[in-house]
Amino acid sequence: MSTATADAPHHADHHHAVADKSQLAPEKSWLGLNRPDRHSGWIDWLTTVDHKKIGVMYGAFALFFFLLGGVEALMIRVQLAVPENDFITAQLYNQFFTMHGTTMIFLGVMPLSAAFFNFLVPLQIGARDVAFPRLNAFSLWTFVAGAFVLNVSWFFQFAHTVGWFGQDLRLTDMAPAGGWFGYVPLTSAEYTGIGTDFWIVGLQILGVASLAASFNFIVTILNMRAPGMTMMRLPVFTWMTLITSFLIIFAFPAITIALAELMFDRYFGTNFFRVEAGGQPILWQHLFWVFGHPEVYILVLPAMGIVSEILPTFSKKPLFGYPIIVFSGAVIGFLGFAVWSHHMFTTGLGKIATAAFSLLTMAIAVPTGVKIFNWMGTLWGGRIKFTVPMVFALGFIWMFMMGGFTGIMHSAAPADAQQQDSYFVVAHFHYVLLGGVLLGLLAGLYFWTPKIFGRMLNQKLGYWTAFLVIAGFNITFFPMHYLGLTGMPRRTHTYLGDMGWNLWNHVATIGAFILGIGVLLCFVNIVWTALKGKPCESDPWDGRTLEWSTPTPVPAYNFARTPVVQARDCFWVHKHGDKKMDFMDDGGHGIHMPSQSWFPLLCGFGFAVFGVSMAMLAAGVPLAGYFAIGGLVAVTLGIYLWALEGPGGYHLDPPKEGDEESDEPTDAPAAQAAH
Amino acid sequence: MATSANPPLDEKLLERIHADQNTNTGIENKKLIMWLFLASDCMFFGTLISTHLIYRKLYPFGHPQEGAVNITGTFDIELTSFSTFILLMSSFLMALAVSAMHKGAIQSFRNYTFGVILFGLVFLGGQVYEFQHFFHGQGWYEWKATAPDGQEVVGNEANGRYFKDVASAAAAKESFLHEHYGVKIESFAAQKPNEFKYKLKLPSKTGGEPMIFTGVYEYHPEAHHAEDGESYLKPREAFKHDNFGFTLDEFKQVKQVPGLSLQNSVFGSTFYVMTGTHGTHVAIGILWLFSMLVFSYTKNFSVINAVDVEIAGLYWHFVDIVWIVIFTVVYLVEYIPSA
Repeated sequence: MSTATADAPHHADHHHAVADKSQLAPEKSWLGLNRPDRHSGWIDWLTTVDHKKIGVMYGAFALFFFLLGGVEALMIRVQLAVPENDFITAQLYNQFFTMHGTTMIFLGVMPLSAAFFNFLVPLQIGARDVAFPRLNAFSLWTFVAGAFVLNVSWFFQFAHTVGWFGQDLRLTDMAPAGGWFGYVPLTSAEYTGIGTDFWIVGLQILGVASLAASFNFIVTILNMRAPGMTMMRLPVFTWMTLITSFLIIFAFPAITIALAELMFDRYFGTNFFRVEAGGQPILWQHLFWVFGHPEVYILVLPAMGIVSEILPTFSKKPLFGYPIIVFSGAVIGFLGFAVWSHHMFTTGLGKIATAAFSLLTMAIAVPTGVKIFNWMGTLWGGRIKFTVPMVFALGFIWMFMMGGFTGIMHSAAPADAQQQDSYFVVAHFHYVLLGGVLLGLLAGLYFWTPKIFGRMLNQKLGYWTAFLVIAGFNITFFPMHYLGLTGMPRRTHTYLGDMGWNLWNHVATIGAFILGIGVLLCFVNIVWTALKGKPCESDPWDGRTLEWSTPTPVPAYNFARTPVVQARDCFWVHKHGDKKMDFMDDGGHGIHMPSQSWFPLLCGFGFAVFGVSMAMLAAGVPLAGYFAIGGLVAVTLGIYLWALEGPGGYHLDPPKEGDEESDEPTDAPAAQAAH
Repeated sequence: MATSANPPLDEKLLERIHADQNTNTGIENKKLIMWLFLASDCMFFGTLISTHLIYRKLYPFGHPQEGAVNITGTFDIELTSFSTFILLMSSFLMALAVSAMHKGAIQSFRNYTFGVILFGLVFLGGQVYEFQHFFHGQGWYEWKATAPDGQEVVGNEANGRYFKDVASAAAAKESFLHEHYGVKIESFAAQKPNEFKYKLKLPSKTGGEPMIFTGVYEYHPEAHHAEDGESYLKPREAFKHDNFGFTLDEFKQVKQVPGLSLQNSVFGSTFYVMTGTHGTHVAIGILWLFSMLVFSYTKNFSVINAVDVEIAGLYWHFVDIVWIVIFTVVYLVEYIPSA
């Protein structure tokens, strides 16, 4: 179990190991094409199959879309700052809240989680890469294609606004405007224009990316663990990755089919959701939430995993109740599929169904509560260091718990009937997703950036970020509980001045800007650090898990020799306990590395062409259908060539004794691994 | 291929196969990811089949507004049962292909895989045929004709073989004429150079005695240009072309079942999208196996690819199992007599 991929059919052809891949002679696949291995610079990034580079790219795109989604949120808040505001039109407002939700969930949180999955999972399980390195690149570029298709709609909206398309269009919305859950009939062809088509196709493409990535991570975690890394020794973050991936592969098909049905309704006149022909919009709601509720846990479980790594590190204690934390995560994932109808209590499901979903929703609070108690148990009696990641992690526990409390309030159907579609709900899910997920992810960024870039983030700026984010977040969203309970409806474009909502809306807008400054500060800090930050050692936090045992920056092959794991928190035990890690013999062949490939990028390009062409087809642009088919042909061609070129591969020589950086502490396994 | 088609299993290959299985679970990465994909695909089909069944239960006749869809009248259960059987047998061949590959019998693998592809194509062809007929709908017709001997013939095409599914009367009439009312030539022999004695038979649809017509046909070659416009039709062809002297006096539609389309009913929407998705899966499987078959003729193909054949087999069996479910809950249950 030492190579990252299945061996190439022509394994023996390139047996000569090199120290650096740029020394390689061009490798020809038997298509006659050169594999792009010997390149560096941007070609290297476009064709890379290295999980660490893919992770960094996921992270970069995610941060970009976080900023974009943040700007959209600020637009919403400016519009609502004062009553009867006309800062933006109602149509643009609809587009902003639709794209804010869609962007934050699918282009912000999920790819940032994927960035951590990519960078960390192989390192945490002692593997040299994921199981399918090229499929991993495919996931990345397909995600980029989906994100492009969703957001290119803004350019069409802009073009329409400045009048390039003339004034005789029936439906003028070019950007999605049907809300992030896209309820029909709002998203039917009668009420929304090509914005919805961009939204449908964009989400379909993003679904392909998520599914491919999830298959890959499940196989990686189940199959690629280093010797001794049993399932119950896996770091909790890896466990949560596994559970999240299972949630994705079972939840995404429901929305994929729902979107396909909606697409058929819009493009080919089918009757899945068309009321006048007997279709039932409620079916959309069921299919959407069968996906949508597990999606909530897809968003939050990785953040829970991150926090479960950070708390023990800075409490200098093992995670309290590891098996229970893991089991609770699995139970949350399982129950997550059985509570979807609590989003639909007001649709008249009937008493039995409502009671059942109510009870199950209450039940899901139990494993969540168990986790919170375990985190507190981890802190209890620990030697707590209030580093920046720790501050975010503690903020996560507190804020997520508050979101959880309002969640329990929603589980009671009669109460939910009052809160449905009010700002109370907005407050609830922002506490869960921002106070929970975002704080968890920021904690992860501050925690692992030293490993990713080999540089420490500016800690002073980090404390300021934590303060601004947590304060700004509470100033924004806490008043929304009150606004919602006094009846302010969600998604309202504006409101009258005599409703008693003026003050708290104003406060929320101020809070949103404080929050925005905090997040921006964090991202500036990251970009600045990545380029110019102060270099740091390979294990700055006295970490517990395997990723900290690698040198920094992490070499392409991760581990010069595969570690043999002796315990849970094996690196910690290695440093401070009695069970030292062993390392496998490398057999003297050098390390087998997968070859790079252009074809995942070609597939992503094909998907982007397909997506934009489908929206153009809906708009009646001539020949768009042919371009859509051309896009699919490009995808098929990419997959075919990818299969034909084979995994390829070359052998790298890890540095021999003596030529490793001398500043490595001699007792650190990082040094051992390299020697 | 310089070497024999079925090279012996050598130690090196076995070692490499063993190395691929050296994972934590003992299952090759490729095989595990296929199982995960199939798990996910279950949810895809589950969603589609549930959509169909929910609407089927909600609208017992599949069509809330424009009148009922006669589901069992539309389906042709014999044809679908046949193609289902063919698909099941293709799975059997697939299993044989996988087994052959594991033994290193590459030529046997090719033979079986060719069979799988062939059966898969038969199934797909059945589906295309079926879709086309469902789409066109059905008509029932009554007709009146005058035989060459002046005798009046009446008939109906309630269950005619030739145009059962033609809902449009004009198209049905054309097809009816093209098939010459179902009349068969019993004998056709020259009496004089341009005179032929004939005997015609019109089988009875109810199983009774067939009607027999006899007479003499006068052949006028110049009246019957062949398709090229130069030569003339042969006497027998010309006789057929003249509809054996029959004239159709009346042809009218007595009953019509509209075709099933994506747009005209919820049943049509759910049915076509669901079975179409399945058909797409079959088509992808055929393309996959065909690629593998072509690949097996290159020098890069060896017993190391047995696992690739096996995962293609997993996919094929899965698609087959999904069809068993669809065939049962979408087709067969329609034939349970309602209480």
